[in-house]
Amino acid sequence: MTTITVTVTKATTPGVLALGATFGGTNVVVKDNSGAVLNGKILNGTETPPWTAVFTGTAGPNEAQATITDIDSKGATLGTPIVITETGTGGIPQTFPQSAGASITVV
Amino acid sequence: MKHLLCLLLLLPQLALATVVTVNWTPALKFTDGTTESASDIGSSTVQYGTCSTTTPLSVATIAGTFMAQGGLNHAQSPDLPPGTYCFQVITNSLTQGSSDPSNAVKDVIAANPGAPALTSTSNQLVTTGTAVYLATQVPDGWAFTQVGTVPIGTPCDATQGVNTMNVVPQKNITVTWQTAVQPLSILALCH
Repeated sequence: MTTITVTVTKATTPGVLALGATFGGTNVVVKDNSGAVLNGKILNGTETPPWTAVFTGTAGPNEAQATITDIDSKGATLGTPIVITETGTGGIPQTFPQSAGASITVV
Repeated sequence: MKHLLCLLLLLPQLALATVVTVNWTPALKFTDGTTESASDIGSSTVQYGTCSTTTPLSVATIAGTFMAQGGLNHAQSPDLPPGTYCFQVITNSLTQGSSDPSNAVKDVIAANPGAPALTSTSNQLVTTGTAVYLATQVPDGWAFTQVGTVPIGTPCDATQGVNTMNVVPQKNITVTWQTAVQPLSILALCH
């Protein structure tokens, strides 16, 4: 089991909504290290700490990925979604048969 | 000394069923005005049948009887077919014989509705859980975020869906929203 924390950074300049639209929240969806897509969470800034979502995932060889989408109150996408990927080698470090030396025999 | 049966109440109940419950109030008095003890009542006989056309109402033709033992002041009829019945009660004293019949009360047992004619069947896809989701695109697929709940068994649209979920038409249903986001289209697991 892994704990995946996604903290969304907000731009210093607010986005401009279309006429009649209302900001609904920031939808965060995570693909865990096993490759499973977890159910998303909608953030509204009242989280502790703000704009942070915590997910419970499954370990695996893949790198976790989060898709952050600002949405209006009707669920429509605002702007362009952001996709971020974990840097590293995923939840489980991968190994390979590393060579450390050798011996040689001649008969 | 003949005893007086004073039946004050005879209320048929369960009129929609074929069993009628008859209630009465024993007089506990003989016809000469002396007191009859409750323990003197050996049984009561309820007579039922067609109603008289004259006043006061009485059972014109007795179709059957049923009994209440001891001092019980209620009894249930056997299953009766639909029709109009009059009921009256006679108290059977352990020491003085039987009373005159009480006043009669009419009861109408309604006929059951006719069986409907089955014309066709259809398979309706319905929600199997309460959660409803917003669908969003992620790289190479779709993801779902719960935005509310609906009752289990809410109809789904079998022709529209994403992955394993189907669209839940919101017309005529109540969605309990859990977020500020109330999507125009919501999805749920349906079966």
